[in-house]
Amino acid sequence: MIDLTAFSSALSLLGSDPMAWLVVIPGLFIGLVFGAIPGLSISIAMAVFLPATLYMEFLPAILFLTAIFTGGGFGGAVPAILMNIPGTSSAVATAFDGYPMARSGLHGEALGAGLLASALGTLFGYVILLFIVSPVATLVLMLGPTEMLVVAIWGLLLIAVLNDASIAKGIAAGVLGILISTIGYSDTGMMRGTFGSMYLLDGIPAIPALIGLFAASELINMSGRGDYLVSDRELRKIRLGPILNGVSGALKGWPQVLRGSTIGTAIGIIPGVGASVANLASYAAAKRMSRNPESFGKGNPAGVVASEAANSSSEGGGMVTLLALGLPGGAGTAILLGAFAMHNVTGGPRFISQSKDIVYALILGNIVQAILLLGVGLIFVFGASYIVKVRLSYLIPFVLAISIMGAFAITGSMVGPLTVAGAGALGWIMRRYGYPVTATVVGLLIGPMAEGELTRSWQISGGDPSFLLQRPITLVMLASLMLMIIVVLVGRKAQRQEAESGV
Amino acid sequence: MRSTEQSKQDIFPPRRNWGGLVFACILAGVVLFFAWSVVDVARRTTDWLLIGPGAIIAAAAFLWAGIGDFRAQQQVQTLAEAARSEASRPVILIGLTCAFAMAAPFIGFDLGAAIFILLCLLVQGERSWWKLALASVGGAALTTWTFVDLLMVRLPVLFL
Repeated sequence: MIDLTAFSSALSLLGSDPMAWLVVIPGLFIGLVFGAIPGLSISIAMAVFLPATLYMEFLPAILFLTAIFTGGGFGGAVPAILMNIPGTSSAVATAFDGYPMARSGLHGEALGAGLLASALGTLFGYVILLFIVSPVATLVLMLGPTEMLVVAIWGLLLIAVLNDASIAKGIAAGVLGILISTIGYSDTGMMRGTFGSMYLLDGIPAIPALIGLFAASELINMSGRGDYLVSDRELRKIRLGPILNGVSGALKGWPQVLRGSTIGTAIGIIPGVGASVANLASYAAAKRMSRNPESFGKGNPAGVVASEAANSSSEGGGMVTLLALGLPGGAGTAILLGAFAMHNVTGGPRFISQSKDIVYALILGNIVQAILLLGVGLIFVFGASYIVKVRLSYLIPFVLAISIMGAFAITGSMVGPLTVAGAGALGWIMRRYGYPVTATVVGLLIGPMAEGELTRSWQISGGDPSFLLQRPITLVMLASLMLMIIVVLVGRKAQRQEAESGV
Repeated sequence: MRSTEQSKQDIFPPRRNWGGLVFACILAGVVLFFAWSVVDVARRTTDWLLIGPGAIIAAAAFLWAGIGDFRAQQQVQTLAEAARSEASRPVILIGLTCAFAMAAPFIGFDLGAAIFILLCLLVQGERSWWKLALASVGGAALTTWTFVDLLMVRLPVLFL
């Protein structure tokens, strides 16, 4: 199951590269900060700091970004518990019981329980990844261009379907991203959509577009909001004792952590389904299996544990599809895919078979991150109160300026900054009318892969659609895709009803 | 006796979301135009194989979504929450961001960032001169130094 040779190489890699460890704690801290500020998501943090990884080696770059991802996984729980405002969409269910606990004076216990569940959930997800990434890689090597095309469509379709907006808006946004990715030279040397502009010959730069769509649009959207996110200082006073009580309480309830982690990992593996769904699904399951389901929504720590364990373990699950298939499972892994591209690495079966030591190094590094999260998280909850006092009016221009500088660093010309500005404007308008920006970003990133596989499929088949009948794996995948969409839609409807009736 | 809500309904009848429909129509038109421009000059089928069907799907989805938005009536109170004074700030910030993006490579990122931060704070209502000075000059210097000296990124700068 585990390639021991590659495993020992991974240990050597991690031991010989100090940079890989130096970036972990800053990354965890950045993720915690961004996750904790309502309105700033983990994907914004990863997008803003993505250019900073340009001059890092691949391994430290990915560990830095996954540390942000890991930190943000818990960061969203802080305002969810203290203020009933989920910092990220993956902490929605955390607020259901975390906030009632805080109102009862148990905010320390809630934060401690959430922190431990988050750390153990992350650990669980990556340990599972360690065992299943190779078998999954062996299976995916059997996939040809038609299968990979279905995988690309699968990832985009689920991202498009699973959002807060309508399915039509999701599909429109996703395909828009694919079309944007086709601008520039085609494989046959034809200029598409450049309209005579030399700046567009290389196409729209993906990373600046990603920064603009995610970070800039969200920040611009927040302008005009209130000066401070938290005005009451009393809510931010946190002592260590209650937090440690919460940690020990969650540890004693380890079966709940294990259940939430399992649900989160399984959901994270499915492309397009991320922590946003995982936390709600796990909460619903915990409530159904509880001896006191009526206590959920009134301050039951098990609700906090279920949500945080699932949203954190889904990170490891999402990495399965990223590493094994080269497909992002959500916004955060979409940015990781961007980081892969920035370092000229393509995820997928070839990457796993040829660079297994790097894959194991990534997984082991993330396992250590999960343990470090406990220590960094404890320190963070003390500092969080000061961070949320920063006025939004100051935060917005600074983050925008950093994004513009980063975009210039990537492209070396004004194309990057202009892309950020243009994508930011487009993203703001899309958000204003309820279109999921994540779907556009995923379309932008997988568009080249989808077109490449479609072209190869066309060339192999000679344009004959009956070629598909000779590819049983493709037919099975298409049928599974249809079934998955139906299950996901029915499940989303059930979760919505559960959330409406339970809180 | 009429309820307060009923009275409000009479004074402020629901309105259609024209903005959503117009936005959807514009994007549908853009993607169809893009596809047409590609198909028109394509040399092989593979040049437009993804773009053609993709544009048709996208246009249909945009129109479906736009019509759905148009049909969903919005209460005026909801629309009033996105009043002109609130909507202008994001538009101004977008304009400032575009201006910064265009100007910074020529005037330097240090000077450009200082002006950008200053103007953004002014737009968002900050009026204390020393806060403006500290945030714009100090903040621009710090961020530029971080990129240029700490992260070793090459940025056009004027002073640093």
